[in-house]
Amino acid sequence: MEGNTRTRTRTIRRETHVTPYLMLAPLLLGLFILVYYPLFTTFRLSLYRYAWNKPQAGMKYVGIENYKRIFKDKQEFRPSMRNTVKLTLISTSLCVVIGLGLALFVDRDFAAKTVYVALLLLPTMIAPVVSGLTWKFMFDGMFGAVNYLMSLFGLPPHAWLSDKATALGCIIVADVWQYSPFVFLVMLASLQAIPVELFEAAKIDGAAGFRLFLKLKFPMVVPQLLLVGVIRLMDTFRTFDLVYLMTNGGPAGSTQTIGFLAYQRTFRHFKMGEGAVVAVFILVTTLLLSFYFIRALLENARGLAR
Amino acid sequence: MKGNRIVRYGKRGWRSVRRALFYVVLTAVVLLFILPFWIVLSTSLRNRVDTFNEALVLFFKPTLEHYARVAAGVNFPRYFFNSLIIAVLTTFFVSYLGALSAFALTRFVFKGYPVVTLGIITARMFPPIALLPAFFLLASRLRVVDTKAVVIFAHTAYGLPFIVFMMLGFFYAVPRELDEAARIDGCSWFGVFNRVILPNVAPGLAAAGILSFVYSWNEFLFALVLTRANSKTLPVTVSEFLTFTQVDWQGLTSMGTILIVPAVIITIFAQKHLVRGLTAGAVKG
Repeated sequence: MEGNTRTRTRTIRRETHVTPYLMLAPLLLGLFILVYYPLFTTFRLSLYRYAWNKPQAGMKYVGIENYKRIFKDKQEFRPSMRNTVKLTLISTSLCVVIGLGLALFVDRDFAAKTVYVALLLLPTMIAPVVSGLTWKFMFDGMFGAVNYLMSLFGLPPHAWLSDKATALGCIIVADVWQYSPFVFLVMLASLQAIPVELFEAAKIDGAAGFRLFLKLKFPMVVPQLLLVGVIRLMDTFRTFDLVYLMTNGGPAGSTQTIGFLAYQRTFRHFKMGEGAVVAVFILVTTLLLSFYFIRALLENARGLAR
Repeated sequence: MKGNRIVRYGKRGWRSVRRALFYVVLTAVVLLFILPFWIVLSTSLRNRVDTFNEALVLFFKPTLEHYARVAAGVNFPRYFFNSLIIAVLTTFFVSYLGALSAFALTRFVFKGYPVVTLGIITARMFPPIALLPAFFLLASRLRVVDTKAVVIFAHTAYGLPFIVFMMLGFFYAVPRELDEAARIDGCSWFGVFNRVILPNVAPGLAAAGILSFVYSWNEFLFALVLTRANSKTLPVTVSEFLTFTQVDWQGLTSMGTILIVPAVIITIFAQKHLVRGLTAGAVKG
C-alpha cells in the first residue's frame, strides 16, 4: 500500500518534470526550423557565392567579399538605404501622431462608439496586397480618384507613381493609411486603462483640456507609445509588400527599399550571398531597434508572473 | 464614470454645439479613412463605361459582371480555396499550440525557462526576409516548395510567438486551484489542459483565432516565395494581376473586395474580442 503511493508520487513527479517540454516541443521545433536554423544559414550564406538557379556550380566561400560589394554599392544599396530611412522616419512619425491624436479624440463616451472604432480599424485589418492595390488605383494617372479630386479644384492631373519626386510619397500615404489605425487601437486601449481616480485628482487640481493631456494622459501612455513606435519603426524598416505591389522599386530606383533589395538580389537575381548580406543588415538593424521592445516584453512577462 | 471627464460648461447650448461639432469632425475623419474602400467597392460594381474618373459618384446601377468574370477565371476558385484551407488550418494550429505553450509557461517551472522565453520573444523580431533565403533552400531541398503544408507551417511557426504572449494574460487569470483539483481527480496534465483549462480561456482563444486567421489570410511574402502554380494563395494571385503593365482595374477591385470581406466581417463582429485580446496580453499587463 505504502510502496504503491510512493510509486504513484514518483510517476506524478516525473510526469510534471517532462510535461512542460512535451507541451512546448511543437512550438520550439517550429521556431528552430523556421527561425533559428535559417538565421544561422543566412549568416553562413552571406560568406558564400551561390546562385540557386545553378546548383551544379556549387557554393564558393568568398569571405567578406559580398559585404564589401554591397556596402560599396552606390547604384542600389545606398539609394535604397536613403529611401528606407526617409520612409521609416516620416511614416512612423505620421502614424504615431495621427494614431495618438485620434485616440485622444475618441477617448470619451458617445453614441455608436463601437461602430466608429470598428470603421477606423478596418485599414489595419486588410491584406497589404489590398492596400497596395487600393492606393495604386487611387494614384493612377488615368483612372485614379486623386487626380479626379484634383480636377475638381481645377488642378492638372499628375502621374504620381511614375514621377521620381512623388512615388515614395505615395507609398508613405498607403503605409500611414494602413498602420495609423493600429497605433490608434493600442493608444485607445492604454488611454482607457488609466485609473479613473487619477482623473478625479486632476480635476480637483483644476487641470483640463491640453493641461490634462500634458500632465496626466501623456505621461501615463508614454510606455505604450514608445512600444508601438518601435514596432512601427521595425516593421517599416523592412517594408517590402507595398513597394513590390505599387512601384516595383521604380521609377529609376526612387522607391527601392532595403527589404525590396534583399528580395530582389535573392529571388530575382539569384545571388543568394548578396541577398543574404542585405538580409543580415536588416536583421542587425532590427535587433538594435528591438532592444527596447524585448526588454519591455520581458518586464511585462515578469509582471504577469508575479 | 467617464462622463465625469467632460468639463461642465455654464451654458447648455454651448455643450450641444460642441457635441454636434464632435460628431461632424469624427464622421469626416472616418469617411476619409474608409473612402478608399468605397472607391474600390464601387469600381468593382460598375459597368466598364462609367469607370472613368467617376469613382466618387454615389448613385449608379451596380453590376456583378466583374465578379462573375473573376470567379469564372480558370484558377481563381482554386486559389481562393488554397487561401481558405491554409488560413483555417493555420488558425487551428496556432490557437491550439499557442494555448498549450502558454499553459506550459504559466504552470511549470523548468530547467531552461529563461532561455525558452527569450527564444520565443525574440523570434518575432527576425524579419521574414532574413529567414527566407535559407528557409527557401531548405524547403526546396526537402521538395516541399509549392505545397500548402509548407505555407501552413511557415504561418503557424511565425504567428505563434505573438499569440503565446497574448495568451499568457488569459492563463494567469485562471486560478491554479482548478488544475490542482483536476489533478487530484486523476487527470493527466494534458487532460487538465484539454478538459479544464481550455474552456476557461475561451475569450483568449477567440482573440487568438481571429488574429491568426487574419494574419494567414493576408500574409504575402512567405506565400510569394514558397508557392508556385499549385498552392498559390489569393494575395499572390492578386499581386500577379497588379504587376501587369495593362491593369484590369475592375477585375482587380473585385478580387480586392473578395479579399477584404473576411477581414471586414471579423473586425465588425469580433471587435470586442480583438481589443480585449490585444490589451490583455502583449500590450498591457
